[in-house]
Amino acid sequence: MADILKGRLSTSILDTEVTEDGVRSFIRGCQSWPFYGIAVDLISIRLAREVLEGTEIKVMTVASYPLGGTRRAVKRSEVDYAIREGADEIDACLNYFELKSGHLGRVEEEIAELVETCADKIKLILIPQFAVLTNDEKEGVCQAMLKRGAHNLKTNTGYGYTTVVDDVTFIKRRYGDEMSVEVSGGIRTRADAEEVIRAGACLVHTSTPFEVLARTADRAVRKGGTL
Amino acid sequence: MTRTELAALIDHTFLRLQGSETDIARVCCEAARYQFASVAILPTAIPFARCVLKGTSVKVDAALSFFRGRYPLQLKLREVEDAIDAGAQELDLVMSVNLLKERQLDALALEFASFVRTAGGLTTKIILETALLTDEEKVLACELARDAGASFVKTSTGLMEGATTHDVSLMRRTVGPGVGVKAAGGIRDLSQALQLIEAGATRLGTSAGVSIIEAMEGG
Repeated sequence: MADILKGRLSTSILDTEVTEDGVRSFIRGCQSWPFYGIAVDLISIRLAREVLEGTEIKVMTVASYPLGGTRRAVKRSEVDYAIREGADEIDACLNYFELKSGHLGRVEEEIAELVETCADKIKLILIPQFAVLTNDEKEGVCQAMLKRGAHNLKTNTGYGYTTVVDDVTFIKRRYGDEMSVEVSGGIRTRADAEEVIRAGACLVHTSTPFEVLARTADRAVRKGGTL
Repeated sequence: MTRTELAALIDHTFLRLQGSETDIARVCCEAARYQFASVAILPTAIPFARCVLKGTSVKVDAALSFFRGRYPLQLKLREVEDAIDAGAQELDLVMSVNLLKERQLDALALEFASFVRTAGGLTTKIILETALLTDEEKVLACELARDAGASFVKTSTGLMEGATTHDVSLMRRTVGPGVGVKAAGGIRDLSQALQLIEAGATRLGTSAGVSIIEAMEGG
């Protein structure tokens, strides 16, 4: 049977203290498996491109990650930088302060600016951080995204929050193929990853991919709950 | 030390991603009531906090490159400029720990000097993230920060293991009396706060400022 995780798993190397050599050896170590992509910080995009040249693996990067605390103009500068350095995709955290303060209109404005900045130069994935949102906020942000032409969503940053299968179902049931869904955080076993893919996620992110691939038993992600 | 003196050393900290205007307003009101030095917040909340704190002596302190510090220099400086435009009065920048690990000391010295220059006289604090450093690396970073003219060296972001008296006294010995030392991360009670001050801290970053002050006698 074909492995449904092939091309649907991504990983990252984003630790505060990691050096260029550390990034290089991590990426080299990942080339033995058909990952969809590898996420690095803005400072390592060029290096990742060099190491991954000639492979199908995409160079991914992040903006305002993982706290969503940078202001709009700075976030746009992050995206511009990622485009100049040649990243294929960028995961951008939304402005959680505005979102949690009920200023959905301002969040929507920012989404529109990001969509415009990215255009066809880089694939934009937005992170609304479902773990801290009410259902109304989740719906509001999804609708704002679709209205402004942003069709790729990652439910959580993965930092400090775990994946909930219900979040994937929540989006897929309402928006179907209009919204592609990625997940990150708390994926510990192969069964976890397969479950969210079956629920409709197009991509599963894990910082410990080989442990996940090796662990076949013990499903850790549960319906509606956390680990 | 009196309650007022202790309060004046505290950066009242709120850096949770899910914080709303309600949370920031509460933090600002507490800071004004207890006369803390500042509120330490994410850049997205700067204008709102400035607005709430209008007419008080409490400063708005922005956490920049937060919390991993992995930005190219031009973006770090862009964020500093933007935070100042938004109304930040003190600036806490996470240093590029990766550069220190690679022993790119010239690049790190440039980062610190550019930060201080861009800050244009505002209070600058360079966050080391001591949990990830050897003692030798802590000393190197402190020497560079001191030479660059930073106002403070700061132990931690608070998202990893926090301040220890060992680190604070090592940092104090390295920078001498002319530079501030800010202890941050895991400061939960009065005795811990007083120990860090005894070790040489001149500022404390904590979200427990209210209970720390309330625990002090002679209000």
